[in-house]
Amino acid sequence: MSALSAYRYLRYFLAVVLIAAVPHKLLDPAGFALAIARYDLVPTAAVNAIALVLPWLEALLAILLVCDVLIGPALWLANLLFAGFATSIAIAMARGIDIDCGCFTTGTTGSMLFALVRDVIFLVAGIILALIYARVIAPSRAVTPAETSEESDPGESKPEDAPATAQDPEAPSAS
Amino acid sequence: MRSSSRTALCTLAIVATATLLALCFNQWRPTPLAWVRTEAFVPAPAPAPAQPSPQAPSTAAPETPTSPAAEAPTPAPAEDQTPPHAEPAPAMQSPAPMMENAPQTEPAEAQTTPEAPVSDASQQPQEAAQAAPPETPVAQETASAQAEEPAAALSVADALQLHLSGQAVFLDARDPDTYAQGHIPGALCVPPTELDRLWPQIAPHIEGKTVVTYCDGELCPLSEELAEALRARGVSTVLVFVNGWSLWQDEHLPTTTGLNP
Repeated sequence: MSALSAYRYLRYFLAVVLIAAVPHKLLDPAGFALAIARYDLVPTAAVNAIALVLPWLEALLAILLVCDVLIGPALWLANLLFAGFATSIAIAMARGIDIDCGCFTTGTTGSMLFALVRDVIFLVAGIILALIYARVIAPSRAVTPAETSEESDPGESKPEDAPATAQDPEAPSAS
Repeated sequence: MRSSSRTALCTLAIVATATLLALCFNQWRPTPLAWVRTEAFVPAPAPAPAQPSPQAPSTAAPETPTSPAAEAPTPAPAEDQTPPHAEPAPAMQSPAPMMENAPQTEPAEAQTTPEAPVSDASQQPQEAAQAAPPETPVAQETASAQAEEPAAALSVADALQLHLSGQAVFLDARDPDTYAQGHIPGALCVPPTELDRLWPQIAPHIEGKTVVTYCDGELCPLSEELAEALRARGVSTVLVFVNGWSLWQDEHLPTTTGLNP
């Protein structure tokens, strides 16, 4: 599989994953807030805000991934999200809290281990996508005239994307 | 502009857009969710079990609401996470503001046990509430609602009492792996999802006895789900030992490992 098609399919895959996680959170913010609270990780005051913003953030990221717009920041955020989810689930498991993961449905009590493994797979996919983007896609785009003409400073446009995209794969490992 | 700062800026822009969308959507909803949650999630069960411990533990949970209604002097903050041996009054006050503040979000959680398993459980506190008039009308409204909850919630002392008396059967609602790693002695492993399958085995054990369900964590829904499922099967006396496993361990009470006896 060429890097280009891998790039495309991974984008679609992550977009579908993100979109699939949206409806239940959007329709039942209170239930999702409770699911977050059960993790016992964030202060109670912040729970509602997270429950309200998270589904929209996921939806927005999915749209950006599908449309191939602002992929750098979108991947950065998506990987941060997946890493955050995986960490939360792992912490909950380590503390022996047996809860609904709140990932794709609310109210069901599935296996935490399954949720964790699933999330790590998403995270790995996100990291691979970020790597492909940083190594292959971004450099090829940096030299296209259409891109460079939009830059504020054409002289700086070429080395510009390299450090930015190099950050992407680092994001999950840092968090 | 440096590309790293541009990426950061775009990231912030995405988050800001999501926040804006969430803001609009939340306003548009019929019942908007408060952005900053001021009340705690745990309804009555967490503070309620604190009450009987200073008293003689021989009385069952239903007794607990009498004194708060009678005393009810000091208002307590809604988020009051009362330690187990705190003053009784604040411990019992905390559910009241919670009930009035979040009527549409949490009552489902708060009143998952509307039918008190012990028949006199809800009557007793209500009488007390009428006998000693509360200070505010709001308190009166919430008093009855508040009274129903602790009826099904157990303190450690009550749970231990029931355990020692042999009148109760403990059902562990957590998953079998966690159960095998440690559980209350004599407890049966019955995850809510497995109840249908396990029912023929556990039915003889719980016949004519009080059933106590527990899992781990104040917000763990499993024990409540199991209790509901048992009530649906016609088991009359089901008590929920909220946060049971943690509380049991905190008191250094005996535990067992291994699978179902």
